[in-house]
Amino acid sequence: MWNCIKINSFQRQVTVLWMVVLMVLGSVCHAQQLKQGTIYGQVTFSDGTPAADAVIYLEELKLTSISNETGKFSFKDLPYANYTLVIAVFGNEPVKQSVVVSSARITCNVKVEKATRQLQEVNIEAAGVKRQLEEKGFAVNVIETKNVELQSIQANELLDRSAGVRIRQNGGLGSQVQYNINGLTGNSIRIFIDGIPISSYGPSFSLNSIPNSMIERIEVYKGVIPAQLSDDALGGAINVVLKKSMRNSLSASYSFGSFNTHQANVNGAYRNDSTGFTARGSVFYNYSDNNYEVWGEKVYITNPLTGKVERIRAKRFHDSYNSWGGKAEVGFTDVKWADQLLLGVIFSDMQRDVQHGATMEIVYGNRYATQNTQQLSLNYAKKNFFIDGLDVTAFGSYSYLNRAVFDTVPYIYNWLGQRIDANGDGKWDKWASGAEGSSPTLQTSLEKNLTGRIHVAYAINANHRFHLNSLMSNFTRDQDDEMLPQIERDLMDTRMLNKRIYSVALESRFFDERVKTSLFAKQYVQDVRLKDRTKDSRTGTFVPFELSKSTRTTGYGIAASYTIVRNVMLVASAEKAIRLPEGSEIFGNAAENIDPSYELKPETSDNLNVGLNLGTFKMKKHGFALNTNVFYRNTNDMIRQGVPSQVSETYRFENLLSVISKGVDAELNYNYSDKVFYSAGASVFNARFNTEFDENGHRYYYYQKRLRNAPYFTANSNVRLHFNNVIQKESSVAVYYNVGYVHEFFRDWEGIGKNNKPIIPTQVVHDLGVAYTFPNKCVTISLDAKNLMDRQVFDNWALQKPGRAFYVKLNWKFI
Amino acid sequence: MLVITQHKLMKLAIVALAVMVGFSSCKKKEDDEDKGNEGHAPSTHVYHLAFAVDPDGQSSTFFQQVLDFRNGTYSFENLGFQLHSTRTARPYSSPNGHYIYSYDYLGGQVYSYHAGNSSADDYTLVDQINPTPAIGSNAARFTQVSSEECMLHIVTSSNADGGVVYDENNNFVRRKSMGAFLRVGTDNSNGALTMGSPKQFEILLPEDEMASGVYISRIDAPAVSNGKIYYGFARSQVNTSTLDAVSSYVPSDAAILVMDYPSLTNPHVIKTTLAEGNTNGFRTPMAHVSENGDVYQMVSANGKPTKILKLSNGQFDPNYVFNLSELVGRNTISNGWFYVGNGIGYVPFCDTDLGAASTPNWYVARVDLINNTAVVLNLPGNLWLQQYQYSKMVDGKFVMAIVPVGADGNFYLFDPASTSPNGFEVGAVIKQGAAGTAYIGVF
Repeated sequence: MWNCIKINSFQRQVTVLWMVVLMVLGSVCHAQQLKQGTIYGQVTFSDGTPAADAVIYLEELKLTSISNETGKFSFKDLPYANYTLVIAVFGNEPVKQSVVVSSARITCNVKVEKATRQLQEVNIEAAGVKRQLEEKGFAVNVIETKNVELQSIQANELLDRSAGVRIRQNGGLGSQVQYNINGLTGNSIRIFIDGIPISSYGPSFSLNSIPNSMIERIEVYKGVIPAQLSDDALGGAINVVLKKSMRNSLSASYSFGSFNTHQANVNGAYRNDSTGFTARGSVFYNYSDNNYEVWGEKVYITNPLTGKVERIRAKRFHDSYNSWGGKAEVGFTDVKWADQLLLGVIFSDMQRDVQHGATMEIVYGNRYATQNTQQLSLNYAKKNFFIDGLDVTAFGSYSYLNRAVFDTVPYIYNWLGQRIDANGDGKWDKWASGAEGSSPTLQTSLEKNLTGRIHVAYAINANHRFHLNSLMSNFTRDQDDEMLPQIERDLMDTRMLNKRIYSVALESRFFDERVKTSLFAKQYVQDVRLKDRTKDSRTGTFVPFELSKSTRTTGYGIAASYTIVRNVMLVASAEKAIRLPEGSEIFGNAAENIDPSYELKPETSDNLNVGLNLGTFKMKKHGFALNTNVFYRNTNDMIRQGVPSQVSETYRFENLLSVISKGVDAELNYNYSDKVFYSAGASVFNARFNTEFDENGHRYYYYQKRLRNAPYFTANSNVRLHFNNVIQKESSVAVYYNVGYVHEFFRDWEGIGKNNKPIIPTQVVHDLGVAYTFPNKCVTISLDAKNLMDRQVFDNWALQKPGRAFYVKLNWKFI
Repeated sequence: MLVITQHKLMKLAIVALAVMVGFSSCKKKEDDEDKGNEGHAPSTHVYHLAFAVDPDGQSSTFFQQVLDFRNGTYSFENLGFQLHSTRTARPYSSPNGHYIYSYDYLGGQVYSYHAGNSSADDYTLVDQINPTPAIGSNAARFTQVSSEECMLHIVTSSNADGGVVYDENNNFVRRKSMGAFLRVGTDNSNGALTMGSPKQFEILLPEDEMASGVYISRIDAPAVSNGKIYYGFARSQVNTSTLDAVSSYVPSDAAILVMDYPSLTNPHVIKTTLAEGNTNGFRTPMAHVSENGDVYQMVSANGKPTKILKLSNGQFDPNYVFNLSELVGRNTISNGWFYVGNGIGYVPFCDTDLGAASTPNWYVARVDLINNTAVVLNLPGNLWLQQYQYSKMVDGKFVMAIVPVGADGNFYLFDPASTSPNGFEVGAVIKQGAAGTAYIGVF
C-alpha cells in the first residue's frame, strides 16, 4: 500500500505503522481482479494550497492513506461499491465525503479549512502502536519487523538488539535459546503469541521457527506486564503479534546460506469480500547442518596412546537441524456477527542432532532428538458485541506434543567425527555407560494442552475502559523409556497441571489525555495433580499415591503515563508479580530423583519501572527520540533446587533465594529524511543475591554479590540506510549495519578466587546486510553477513556459536 | 665414493654448530619456562589450602599457597586459583608441592599445574591429558597411589541392554560390574603427565552373592604395596525379579579388589567378616601403607561400626581389627582417614547419633593402630568434614584446616607424638567459609 505514497518523515513512518495496524497489514501487490477501481484524490485547503499529511480513512474497508506534499492520495483495487472517506487534518474536525467506485479510475477532491497549527504535527498525534503502548505506562520495547522482514534475520536476533533484552543461545539454528530481560530468565520470563502463552502452541512454535515475515511486531514488557497477557510471569514477557492479513495475498521467501542453511516459507490469505469467508495459511521449512567451525580450549583431538591433546579448528559434524510445519485458518472475517471467527490447525515436525554434552569437550556422534506437534484452535473476535463499546475476543486450543530422545549407540567420537581405538585392540572405544548422554535412552514424552482464553473490554465512557480476562490451561505430560526396566517405567508419573488466571484492568484517561493509567489485578489459581508410585525409603516397597494441590494467589499493579509537555512523557509502572511453582517442583519426580515439596510457595517480585520518553523531536529533516527506563525489582522466595544429601542422592525444591535488581536501559533513535535511521541502546543492571543465610543459618558467601553466569552490560548500535531509484528506476535499496556488545561476565559467583576463573568473554559482533527491491515491488533479494569479523562468540561458558556466515534471501510477492 | 672437500666439511661444521647452538638455546628456553614466574627453589616445600564452592552442584575448587601455618589470616575472598572443573575437581600435589595434578570430573581431563611464587594464587597450567576415550568415561575417579603415579578408575553397571545376565532358563545370574582402570604417570620434575594403557574387565563377586542381585556400584581409593593394588568398592543390590534397587541393602562383610601391580592383571575380590560396610569412601583416602608394607583399610557404613583392617600379601589379616566406634564410644561414620607414620593416624568422623553425615557433627580422632587407642581431639564444635579430602605432615606436625560452620577457624597443627586430646597447636586464622562452601584440605 505504502509504495504509492511518498513518505518523507519519521513521523509519517510512525503514522504509516498506525495505519498498518488499522488496516491489518495486507498485501502489497495488487490482485488483477475485475470490477475494481482506484480512487485518486487530492486534499486542498480552502485557499487552494495542498494539504500534506492529511489522514484519509476509508470507513468500509478500514483502509488508511496519507496525502503527500501535493495533497494527493489514492486507494487502489477497491471493489465497486459506495464508500465513505473520513479526512482528518490536524487541528480540524474530520470531514466526511462519499465516493462511488464504479469505474477503474475515480477522482475525488476534498477541500478542508486551513489548519491552525503546523501540519507536521498531525503525525505526532497519530501515535504508532509503539507509542500507544508506551502511553499506557508500561516499560515496553516494540520491535517492528517491517524493516527487516526481507532480510535473513530471525525474531530472536531482533530481540537481541533491543535494549534490556539478551538472547543466549547454545549454538546454531535450532539450538536451545534462553531469554533474559534485565537479568531475569528461565521461568520468570513468559513468551506469548498474540497474547496466548506459547506453551499452548507446543515448542515447535518457538520464536526461532516463525518467519519474521509472519510477525507484525514484537512487544517486550520489562518487569510489569499488562493484564491481557495472562500468565504467571515474574520478570517480563515477550508478546509476538502475528500478521492478520484480511486481504488476498500470496508471498514466499527462500533463504540459503552458510552451513548449508535453508529457510523457506510461503504465506497466503484469501478473503471473499461478499461473504467474508477467509482462509489463510503458511508453511515453513528450516534446515541447517550447523557445521560451523569451533576452536579453543575445549576443542581438540587426543593422541590415543599418550592422551596428549592437540587443539584444532573443527567443523561440527553432528548438529543438523530440520524443522517444517504449517498453520492454516479458515473462517469468516469482518462479517456482521464477528470481526473474526477462525478455525486453525498447526502442525510441525522437528529433528535435531546433539553434538555435545554440557561443554564442548564431550563430543557426540549419534544422539538426537525429535518432536512433533499438532494443534487445533478456534479464534473469535467481535467489537461492539451486542452493545456499543463491548469488545470480545475468545480463543480455545488443544495441542498434542510428542518428544523423543534417541541415545543407544555407545561409540566415542572425536572432534574430527572419527571413532577411536585408544588401546589398539581393534575395537572402537565405547562409553562405559553404554550411550553418549548417560545411560541408553529412548525416552518419549507426550504432552497435551487444552487452553482457553476470553478477553472482554468495555468502554464505560470516552475516558474509561474496563478489561476482563480469563485464561485456563490444562496440561498433562506422560513419560516413558523402553530402555528402562518395567519397574522404573511404571514409576514414571503422569503430571497434570491446571492453571486459571483471571485478570481485571481499568484503563483511564484524565486531564485532556495527558495522564493515562492502567490499574490491574490478577488472580492465579493452580491445581496440580500427580499420579505416582513412591518408594518408601526404609522398606523399599512401593506406595501408590494420587495427590492434588491447589494454590491461589493474587497479584496487582498499575501503569501510568504523564505527558508533561508535548514529546516529554513520564511513564511509571509497578506490579506485585507472581510465578507459580511447576508441577515437578511441587510433587517431585521419582524417575528424576526429585522429592516432593508440598509446601512450596509461589515466587513473588515487586517490580517498579520509571521511564522518561523524549521525542520524537523534529528539526527540519532530523528526528530524535530517547527512551529511558529505570527499574527496581525485589524478588523473593525464588524456587531453587535444594542440596542432595549424600545418602539419599535425591533433592527437593525450596523457596530459598531472593534477588534485588536495579538497572537502567536507554534507547536513542535518530532519523534523517526517511533515508538514514540510527538507533543505539544500552542496558546496565545490577542484580545482587539478597539471601543472607541458608536454611541452616549459614551465611552465603555470595550474599549481595552479582548474579553468576548472567550478562549485566549490553549495548547495541544499528544504522539503516534507504535509497530509491538505484540501478533501476522505482527500485529501492536498504542497507543495515549492526554492532552488538556484551560485556564479559563470570560463570561462577564473583568474590571467591581470582586466578583462572571461567569467564564468558566480552563479545562484539558485527552484522551487515543489504536488500534490493526490484521496480515491480514484488521481488526482493537480500544479502546478510553475520559475525563479519569471525569472532569466537559464546553466550554460555564453553559453548561456541557460529562464526562468519553469509545468507542470501529471495522474497516474492505474488499477489 | 664419498668425497668430502674441506669446503663441504666447513659447511657441515657450521651447520652442526648451528644445530647445537639451536638446541642448547631451545633447551635454555625450556628451562626458563619451567621456572614459570620465578618458581620456588627446589628445596622449598610448597603447601596449599583448598576450598570448594557449591559442592552439591556445578562446584568449583580453589587453591592458594600457604607460607606460614602459624601466623596470619587466610581467606579466598578475591584470592585463589580456580582449578579446571566441570562438576568437581579432584586434586593431589607432588611430593614437594611444586605441582598439582587434578582430574576434572565430567570434563574428563587430567590437568597439571605449576605453583609459582609471585603470589599466593600463582599457578600455571603446564600439562593436560585426555583419558576419556581410553577409560570410556568422563566421570571416572582419581586417586594418587605413589609419588609418581595416580590411578583413574570407574565401575559401571546398568539394568539396560546386556547389563544383566540370565541363564538359559531365564533365571537371574548377575548384574554385570564393568571396571575400567588407567595408570597416570606424574613427573614431579616438570609436571608432565603420561598415560598407561587402559584395562577393562568385568569384576566378579562370589557367584551366590551376585545371584542375590548384589553388584559393585562404585570403586575408589586404591592403595599400592608390594606389587599389589588394593581397591575399595561399594556394593548395591537389585531385586532379581524387578531389577529395582534394594535401598535397605548393607554389605554383611568387607571386601577389596586385589590386582597385580603395575600390570593390573589377576583381579580378584577378597573378603572378611571382621567388618561390615563399603571400602571406597567418598573423596578422602581410605587405605594407607605402613612402613613395613601393610595396608590399613577403613570400612564404614551407616549403622555399622567404623573399623580399620589390615591387609598383607593380598589377604586380610584375620587377627587385626581396629574398631573406632568402640574406642571412642560413639556410633560413627567416616569417609576416610590420614596416616602419619609409626601407626598413628587421624580420622575425621561423624557422630551419627547427633546427625547425618551432611550435618555439622564431625570430630577428629587421633588413632594409634598399633596400641589400639583412639583419642577424640578437643576441637571446636560444629564441624562439617564430609567433603574434607586431604591433609599433610608439615615439619613433623599433621596440619588440618579446621573451620567450624558459621565461624572463623584455624590451621590446627597436631603433634603425632601427643596422646592428649589437646595435643595440638592452633595456627593461623582461616576466615569462615559460608553456606555451600567447604575447606577441603591441606595439600
